[in-house]
Amino acid sequence: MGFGVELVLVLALIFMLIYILFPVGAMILFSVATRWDRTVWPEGYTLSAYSTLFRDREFWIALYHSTVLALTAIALSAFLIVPALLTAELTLPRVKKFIEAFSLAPFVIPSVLFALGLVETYASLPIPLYGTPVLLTLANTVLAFPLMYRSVENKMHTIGLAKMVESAITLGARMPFVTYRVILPNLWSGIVNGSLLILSMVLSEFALANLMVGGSWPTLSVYLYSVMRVDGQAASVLSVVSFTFTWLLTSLVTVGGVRRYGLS
Amino acid sequence: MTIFWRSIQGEGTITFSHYLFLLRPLYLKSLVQSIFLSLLTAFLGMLFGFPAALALQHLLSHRQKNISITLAATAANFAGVPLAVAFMILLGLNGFLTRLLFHRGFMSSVPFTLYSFTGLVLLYLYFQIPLFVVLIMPALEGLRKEWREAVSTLGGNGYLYWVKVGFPVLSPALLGCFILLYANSFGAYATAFALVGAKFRLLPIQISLAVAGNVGYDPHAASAMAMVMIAGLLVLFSFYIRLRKRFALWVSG
Amino acid sequence: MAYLEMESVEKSFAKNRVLTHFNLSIEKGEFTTLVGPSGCGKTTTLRILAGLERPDRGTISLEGVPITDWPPQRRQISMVFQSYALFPNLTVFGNIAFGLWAKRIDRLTVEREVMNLLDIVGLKGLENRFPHELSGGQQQRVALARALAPRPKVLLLDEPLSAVDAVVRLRLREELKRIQRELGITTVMVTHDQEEALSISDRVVVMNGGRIEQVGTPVEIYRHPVNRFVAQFIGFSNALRVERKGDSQEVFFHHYPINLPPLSLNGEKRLTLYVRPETLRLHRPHELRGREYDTNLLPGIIRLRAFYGAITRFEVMVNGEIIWVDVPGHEADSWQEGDEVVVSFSPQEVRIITGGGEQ
Repeated sequence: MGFGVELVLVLALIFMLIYILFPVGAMILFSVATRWDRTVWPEGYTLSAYSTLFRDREFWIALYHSTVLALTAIALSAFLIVPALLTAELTLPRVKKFIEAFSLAPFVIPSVLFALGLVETYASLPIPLYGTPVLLTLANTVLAFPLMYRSVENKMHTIGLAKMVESAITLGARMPFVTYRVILPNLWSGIVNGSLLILSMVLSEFALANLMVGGSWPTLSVYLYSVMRVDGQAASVLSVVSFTFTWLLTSLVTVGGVRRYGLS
Repeated sequence: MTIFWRSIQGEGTITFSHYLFLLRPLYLKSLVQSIFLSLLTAFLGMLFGFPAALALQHLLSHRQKNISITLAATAANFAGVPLAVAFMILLGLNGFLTRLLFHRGFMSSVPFTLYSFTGLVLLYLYFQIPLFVVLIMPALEGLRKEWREAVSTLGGNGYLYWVKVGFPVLSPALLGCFILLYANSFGAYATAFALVGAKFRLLPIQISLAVAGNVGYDPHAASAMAMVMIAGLLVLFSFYIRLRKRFALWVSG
Repeated sequence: MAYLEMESVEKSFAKNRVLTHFNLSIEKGEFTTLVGPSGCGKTTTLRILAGLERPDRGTISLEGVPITDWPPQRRQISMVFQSYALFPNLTVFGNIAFGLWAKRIDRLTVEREVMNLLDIVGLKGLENRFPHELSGGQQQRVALARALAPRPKVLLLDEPLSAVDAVVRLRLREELKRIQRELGITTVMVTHDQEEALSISDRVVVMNGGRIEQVGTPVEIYRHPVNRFVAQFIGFSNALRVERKGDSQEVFFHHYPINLPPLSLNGEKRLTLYVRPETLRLHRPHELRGREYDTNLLPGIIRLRAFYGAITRFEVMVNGEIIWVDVPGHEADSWQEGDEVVVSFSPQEVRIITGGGEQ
């Protein structure tokens, strides 16, 4: 590569990094500023916005809601995906194509449309599911499936789990033993990976939460949206927390997680 | 997902007349706007993302590359309400940059407001550029070092390599990533909703209003719009899967 | 001066020294093979010749011109990669034509040349296929044709046959040799397969740990290995550790006397004798009655027999040590596991390497 070309590439990279970091920087600065609407730089610095937020009961409620959602989605998707994938892998290779197509569905159907479908369907049913957290949990679980699927499937393939299980069986091990000693320990990192992705997804998920239950059972992002209209600084504090959290989760999964949509 | 089909059929019963609603200027406008916004941000995402990804792959050390990719992946996932907040602080009516430009006298009047189409594009680019980088990275890693070496032992230079081998091999991956970016912004709801609320009617927002809003409640139209959206995305994704297969074949073969 | 020369070349990666004081000269039209265990620096040597790696020290010259600092583009040295590195987006035609495109040669000539090469490598009619539509052997031929197309001065082959299955490998090996002969192109190949190296080359360079152990014709290398490494890496050898009593030519394997060909032993007490299994013979003990005190006779018991087709290999236990004996064709049929035997060999077939046993 010529020097000119390299320069362009480096500039593009720097541009991207600045583009990413600049708003985050402003956000952090704003969250610790005492007052920052008249001057170029903040007039003073304080952490009071953080302590206010952490003393706000509604914040903890929203966090609690989001955590419940995330944990349920993780647990449900892990319990459904892992055995299903294993069965498909070991005995029914044709089913795999079906599951594979399924896992792309959330890309094809944006969450707004998904929410719409659920609302439409359950609103007409006699069962009082519509607008309840239960339905939201189920909806989040469906969105969580592909994340868990990708991580577990990836792991399963890179370590060749099918062969491992087969050799364990030929050595005379029974299925519960194989599950406990072979499948779970080897798939564990894949499951953890998927769980982190789901956690990050559910915590920032807005469309479903807003459209399905809204303010009656606020999640973190719904809470943030309501705060944003009232108090900019509280919103910036929450956004900083959210970015930090996303960043932490992403660093944890980078190696496996980046490839989840990958082309190869 | 079958829920969807049911909901659509339930509404449409026998008639397809609901689809005619879509021809109303209100809906047509949001459709066109959505498509335009998605195309534009996907294109710009690729335009800025591709050179950045090349720089990451070829000019940085392994460690620097990992840090940058983590950052990019974070940004790619950082959409929705918090992103809108960050940009408002930076570029809002009384945002940091806006003020900076005023105070220093670089500008006498605000050339644009964040709460507009341009602002939306800026916001979307925040996750589109890094998303492109994250998506194209595995493909760049799939370009084998030997191809470049083979070109050089056959007497060809870097230019010939990119024209005859590098770009052509990457092209399905580039197009595939473009499609994912397009779909990503086409379905995005939270970011736009948080920034401009119902004022700016992109298709997803229009749909949500039609199904849950106080004004313009019209589930039939919503279902019809949803069907159009899904159909479009389905076509794109079948195309994407074909591209992905082709690329996998090339890189492994 | 030789056609292609490497003079005191050194190369390290990080702190790892890959080539140490490396000298090699190759004559025009010769087929030279670098052979050695993995990690011995043979592929690095090839890449230095191609210009894909720069040596830390030393010079490389082609036709008497130093080319050490030349980029690969300028050297007119082509390379066939181990993985072939065919361009997946181009057809067979495009792949082969690539080097000609790089030279900006006119279309008609390119077409003629490519067709000619397709004929040489036996791929006529496949010019519009893509690499992934070809078998491993066909891909290999395309890679070869692509490397030959720009008419390079030197052709480099990096483990060219390692990715194809056994049957195809043998056929391609013959063909590679035929094409090389026909075109008279100076060729340097790298392989870890010593049989491949012996059968295809004019000259073999045995490498180990970044150094050259021995250079010679296949026959020289096989029959007269200069050291322990070559004797054991090329072909299969029995290693007999023997002790010399006094200054005589007679040595002892355990207590069995062994006669050696006359040569100066410099007062060495411990020697290792390398004997190829096919030069050993088996006898029934009664055939040798009365000659028990002759030299070069080792009594033992057959522990294992393994049928290899052309030969049968017997594992004979002599005083707790294993000696392998190869017996050709039907001769082997009369020997069974558990038979008591005597192994004999002629002093002329023994290679002596001083310095005692293996490490």
